[in-house]
Amino acid sequence: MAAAEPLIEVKGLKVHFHTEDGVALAVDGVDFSIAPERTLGVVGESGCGKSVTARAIMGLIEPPGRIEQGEILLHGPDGIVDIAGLDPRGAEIRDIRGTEIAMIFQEPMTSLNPVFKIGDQIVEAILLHENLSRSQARERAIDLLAAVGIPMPRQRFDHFPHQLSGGMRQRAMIAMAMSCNPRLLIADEPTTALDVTIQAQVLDLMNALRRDFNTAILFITHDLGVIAGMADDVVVMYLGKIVESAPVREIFRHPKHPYTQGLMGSIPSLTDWGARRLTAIEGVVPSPFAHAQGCGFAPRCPHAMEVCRRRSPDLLKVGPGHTAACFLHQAAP
Amino acid sequence: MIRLIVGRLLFMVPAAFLLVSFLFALFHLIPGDPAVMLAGDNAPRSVVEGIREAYGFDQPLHIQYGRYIAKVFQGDLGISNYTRDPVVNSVIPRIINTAQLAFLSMLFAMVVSLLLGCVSAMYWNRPLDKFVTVVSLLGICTPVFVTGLLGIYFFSIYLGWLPISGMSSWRHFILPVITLGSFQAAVLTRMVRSCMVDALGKDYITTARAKGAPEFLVVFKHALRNALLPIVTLFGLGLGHTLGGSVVTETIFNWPGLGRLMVNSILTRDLPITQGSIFFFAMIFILVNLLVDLVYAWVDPRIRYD
Repeated sequence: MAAAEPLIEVKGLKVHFHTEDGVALAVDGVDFSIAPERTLGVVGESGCGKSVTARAIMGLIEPPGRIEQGEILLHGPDGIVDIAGLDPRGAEIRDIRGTEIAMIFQEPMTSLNPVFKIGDQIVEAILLHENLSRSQARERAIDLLAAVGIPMPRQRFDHFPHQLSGGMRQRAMIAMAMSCNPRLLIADEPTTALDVTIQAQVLDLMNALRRDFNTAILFITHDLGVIAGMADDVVVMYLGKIVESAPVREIFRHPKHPYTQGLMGSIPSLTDWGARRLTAIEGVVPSPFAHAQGCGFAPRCPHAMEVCRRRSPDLLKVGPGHTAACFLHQAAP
Repeated sequence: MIRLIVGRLLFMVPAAFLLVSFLFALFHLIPGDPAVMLAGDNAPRSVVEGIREAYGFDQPLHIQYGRYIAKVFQGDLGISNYTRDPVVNSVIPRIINTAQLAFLSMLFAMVVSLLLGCVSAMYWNRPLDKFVTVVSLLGICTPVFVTGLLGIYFFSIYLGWLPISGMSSWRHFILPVITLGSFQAAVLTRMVRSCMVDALGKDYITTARAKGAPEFLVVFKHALRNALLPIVTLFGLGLGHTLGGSVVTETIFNWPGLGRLMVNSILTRDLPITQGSIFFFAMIFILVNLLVDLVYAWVDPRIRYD
């Protein structure tokens, strides 16, 4: 899917959480890359490892979590940095956070610090990375607030988070994330906590900013509708693994993996309204502590074969730019 | 903000009124005839009756109540049964001594607990955190008189560095302040730790880290400012406890404070002094609570602006 030089490459990433209940394989061998100015959508149910992958890229995995294996290669003008190998509390990763890669979160209600003015929180992000005076940073912050569509930005600068609505807070978060012009923006379910009308506005805003700032986006969501409108490429995750990966049109037209097909079947369609019942994927996501043999989706898969319970399928090519990890599309060994 | 301050100040009036009413009731609820108490058990009947008239104890209760309230609001808390001095004159110097001790102890406790609590939270569940936990549990378990006596034995008698009792120089303050403050320091360290652990787990901490803030800023700006909300309340309560709980420390170090004055007045049945001491203790408590409310509003914009 990546055309020329990628912006970021994730190779064989494994993030495990060592808890008293055992080892949770939150991310269990994930590979993908994002090209500059492209949007990669990551889809999956809760607990499939989407957010942990995002946090790993930011170097924000906290104990008991640990990056066990793999590389996260950030291609920059000064060469390639392996984020997975950096000290998560060190100066190098801090220089990357905010400037190269910025992140916005699911809960705009709790992601802004309630005791500081939103303007000051943006100014802090600017001053951490750029050699500006406070008043210059303040002007930049006000411009950013205006750019993300916050009315009366000069007055809003001095407001506290609790004085803003959820949508406004998420806009402020986006302004903060864009403050140092990052090359990659990670959006971890940025619209999940918002009303549908506000969702649409925030998505429009993100699309506009992507054009204006030439930023690549890693867009995490469980909402396929959002993916269809935002992403260029899509990866589908299940139990810490990528089960399917393709350009957005391809995956909506020809979903190959039974899990992806299940996700598609569970959204209502406008065209065959009433003609079709929505289908649900049977069962629930297994515990990440249960390291069963074989394909992780086999227990819920309507097409599960004998081989699926013995071996885990590799992610192999099934079409142009399209890969899937399913024995249905592979010659049985 | 100004509305909040005025509101809180106005709230002090009914609080003070209730307090004075309670003191008046106390005087009449405890067993014994107040005139006999003043005159002494063996005083002739004529003397007792003279006192009863002079103090107005023969008047109906509501008139006595009205007079008492009027006197208190004029700053007259009565006369000590023993020294015959106005209560205010004996209580004020004592309260200054106790306040010095209590505020310095709380300052000590605040500095120690903020430092140890933050460090503990930063190294949550690691050896350093466990060490701090053990030390603070030890501090909570050790009674003040044990800390005080051990301190006197070690620093004053064995090493000879610090004076044993009195309050004539700054060196006299060290042992009492540490003795009185260490218990609060231990309790507050536990609270600061848990508040900080809680704050450090919040989403806005991830946001702060995600914008590239160094760990120092994350902990001492973003987390601490939020953790302060519950901590400020606890500091206020701690100050109240320290003021009221200074009796033992004052006794150990022969500190001329209000706590000792009050205990002595109870033992000698010098009721006006007891009333006066309680009045001042309670007023300080009310003032400290006011202070806590104001600091709270300063720390938390959600309170300031609502």
